[in-house]
Amino acid sequence: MGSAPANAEKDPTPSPAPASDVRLIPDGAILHALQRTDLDGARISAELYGDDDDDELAALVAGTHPCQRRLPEDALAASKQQAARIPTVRR
Amino acid sequence: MRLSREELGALFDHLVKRQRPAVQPDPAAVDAAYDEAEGLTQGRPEDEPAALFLALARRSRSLGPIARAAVPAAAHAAAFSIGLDLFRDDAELALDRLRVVRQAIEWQELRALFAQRLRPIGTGEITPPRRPR
Repeated sequence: MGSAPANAEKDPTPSPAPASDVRLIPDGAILHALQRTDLDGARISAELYGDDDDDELAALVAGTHPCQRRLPEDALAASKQQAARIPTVRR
Repeated sequence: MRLSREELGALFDHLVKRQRPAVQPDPAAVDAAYDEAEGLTQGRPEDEPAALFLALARRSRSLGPIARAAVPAAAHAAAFSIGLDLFRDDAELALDRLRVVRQAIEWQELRALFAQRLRPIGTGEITPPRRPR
């Protein structure tokens, strides 16, 4: 079995990527999900609000949440109204 | 579920690599969410995006800082895996996640909200109905 490296040098066929690397390449569903999600908005939200849902809800009511920054005016108004209807404490 | 556990895990791996959170998502919570989502769908593939969203949102704390990206992204991935596109924007999904966390929405209501916004991939965005003045 000691000849494997020599054979590999002669064989131009590339070796398949190790399984750990394969998981780094997004497939269709994952790529789609990454493209359709505002990853920067989510990351900034996590930095701003951490585990504090109250702060996040307050930002949504105020219209200052990072995920609301691309909304047109009418959609932002609707978003703020919907946020205001969410109870401020757990049911 | 058409979206496999492995695909969901790979999605979360991507988000962890991208966001480098101080706290990693708890694999047991992700597994439990997947199990719950399977139970909620009762074999209806079209319910898979809403079911996965609900089950993951309920476990937001266990997902750590990536929860705000992971919960909506998982719903989009689940939709794609059944040939559908979920037209619910990030702000709506942020509100939906908080509704779930606050127990302000039930499964049937969330299921209906998502069902209204699922379209076959490539058929274009839905224009939301104008609100009455």
